Amino acid sequence: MRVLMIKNSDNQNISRDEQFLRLLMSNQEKIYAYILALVHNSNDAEDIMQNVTTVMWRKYDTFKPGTSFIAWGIGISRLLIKKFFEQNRRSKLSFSSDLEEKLAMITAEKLTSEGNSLLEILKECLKKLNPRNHELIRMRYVEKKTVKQIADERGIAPHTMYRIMGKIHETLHRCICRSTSVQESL
Amino acid sequence: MQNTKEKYIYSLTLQAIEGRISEKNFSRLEEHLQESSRNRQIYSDLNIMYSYMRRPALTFGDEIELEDHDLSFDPDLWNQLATYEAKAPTITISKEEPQRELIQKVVYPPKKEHKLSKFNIFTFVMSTAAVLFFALFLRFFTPQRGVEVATLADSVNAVWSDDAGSIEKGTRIATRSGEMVLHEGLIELLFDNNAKVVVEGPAGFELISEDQINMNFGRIYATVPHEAIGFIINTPTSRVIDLGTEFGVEADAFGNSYLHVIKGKTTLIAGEKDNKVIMEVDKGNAKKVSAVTSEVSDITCNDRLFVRDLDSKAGFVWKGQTVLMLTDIIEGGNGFGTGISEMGIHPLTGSPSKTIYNHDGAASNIYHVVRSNPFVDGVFIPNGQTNQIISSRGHLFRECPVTSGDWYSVFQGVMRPESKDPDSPYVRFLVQHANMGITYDLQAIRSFLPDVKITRFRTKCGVGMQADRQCNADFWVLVDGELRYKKTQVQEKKQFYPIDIELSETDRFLTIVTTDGQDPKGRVFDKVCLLTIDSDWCMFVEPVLVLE
Repeated sequence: MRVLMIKNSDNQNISRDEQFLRLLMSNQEKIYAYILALVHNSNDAEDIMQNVTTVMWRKYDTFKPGTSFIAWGIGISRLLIKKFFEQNRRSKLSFSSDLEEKLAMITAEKLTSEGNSLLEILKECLKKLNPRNHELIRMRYVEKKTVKQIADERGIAPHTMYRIMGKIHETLHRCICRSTSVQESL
Repeated sequence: MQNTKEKYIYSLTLQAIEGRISEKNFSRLEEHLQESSRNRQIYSDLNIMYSYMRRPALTFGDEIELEDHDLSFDPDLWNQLATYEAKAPTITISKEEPQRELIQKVVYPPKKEHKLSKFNIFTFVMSTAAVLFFALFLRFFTPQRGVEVATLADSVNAVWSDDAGSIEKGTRIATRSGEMVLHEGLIELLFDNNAKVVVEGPAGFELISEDQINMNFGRIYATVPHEAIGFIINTPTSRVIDLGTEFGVEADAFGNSYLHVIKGKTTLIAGEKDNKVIMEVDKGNAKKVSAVTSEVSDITCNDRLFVRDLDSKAGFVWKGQTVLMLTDIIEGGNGFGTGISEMGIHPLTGSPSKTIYNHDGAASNIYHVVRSNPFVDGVFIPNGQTNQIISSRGHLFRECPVTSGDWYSVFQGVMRPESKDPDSPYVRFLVQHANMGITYDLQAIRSFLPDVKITRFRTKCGVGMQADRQCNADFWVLVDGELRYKKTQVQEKKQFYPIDIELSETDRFLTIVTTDGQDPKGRVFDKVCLLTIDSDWCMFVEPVLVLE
């Protein structure tokens, strides 16, 4: 056993600002996912994410290189989500505190233990969708259309389109689970 | 049925994400999520998928045409944008009018003003650039060396394996250091995220990251504050994830794992692949994970099994005891049984002292600050003739009666039968003969037990049977100079009166005083002229501070 007295010489040639940007770039989707899981509304999540990113940048001096950036980001997110709920008061469309805690736990665990392989797997799974489903997903995420807009264009009821989109997401999810260790929990 | 519900979760979650979920559907979603951890897993996974797909440059990079962004990084620009972001005026964006739907009543979220600042634009641009960052930096910027993530905050009688040598208090501990083997003793590690663990030797462990430790064998107790969200302890057969709790984990020599949750809630993960089990374990519950079968079974939660706190300076080793014994402090201990029997405190000097009997008459009422015992502020002989100081901060015992100023013995702990019944069990008494006062420093005790609250002082007071003549004594208890209890003119021996005083976190000085009942001088018994304190063997039955 050795106790290493590390000097972060590896990082000496990289500016603090670049380090922050790199870490942010590789973790921002995870941080956003954590926020979204708790507030469930993408507009709210975007607003909070914006504040989280700003706070992380300002507080970056307190972050210790080599420690878990995602855990640090989640910690800050948790505080700002709490502040968001305090400022906006809980509406009827808010999860109970108990459920919120469970979702926070399960999402944080997944995000902190997972590497970056999920993205690659997701890309592969997207390619496996049949052309019809792939087009719908493309409309939703690349063309940034809402499910309702897509439904309107296709001339079908929004709730039917939500079911179709739900089914496609389920297919994607199952594909990811088959391809990763995530399936172990299913 | 389960599959049907799962399908609902996908579509309901998408409705929620887009802010188009009705109250009724939101209730259904919540109900499904409350139902099972599997449903919550699906919800969590879906949110993660959505987060990646909302950046088409990441997930559809092969299919969309990337703009030729300048990827160079300008910290000044970033700084300016961050500053501007804080001060930027709000730009109101007109929103499309919501259209009524025929399906069911939809509750639209309240109209919101969305801020669109340069920061947003910059974030979008940089997100697009993330494709290249993923490709380049994640490949080449993987740290190959360990980093310091924790500090050895304290240790008691720690003996490390030979190749570790001695590790001093304050040493920084790094990841990738290999297994650290503690043969015996106790150590306390403070992680940089403020999670604290106490490891009991023999134990073998390895730091994985600032919020993760592998416990190969031995016992470990974790105290995890809010900021250390997601702290993880891995054993050979389990993983315990915490979100702000206290729990102990033991990995035995056979590979079995034991989890005891003392506060809050944890998630326990055991087994692999198809046998994987994920469950929540709450306060007061304990689980065993079998090394052979990976089966999880209930066991009795033992809240005294793990050392939770230690302080080498004061010799504190706390295993969750709920009382701190004042007799042990009098004997030079830490309140948890480390004192030396027969040792006491001299009432005139405050120094440690074995039994001494005073035959030199009355003493002055000077308050003697005690230097030798960190938990005793001072001692005194009350005589009521001048202001009676009872603490190093000058608190006064205003109700102090006039006494002779005579005293007889040292403060001392003794074992005696609990009652007059000859078969009654022996218990620990604090002997404090009449005309003696002692002040305990609760703040000093708290400083060694920062996570513990002192909530009450409990004991019984009365006069013992050591002498056969008539007793007459008074008992007083004060907190920061405020009288909280008194029992005067106690003339029956072996009659003990309960004392139960609530203490707040701001209370500092607990003073216990005995006086002589103001007996007249010159009493004669059996042709002997008696002192006012004669036969006043004042005693306190198992005096304790109650801890939480």
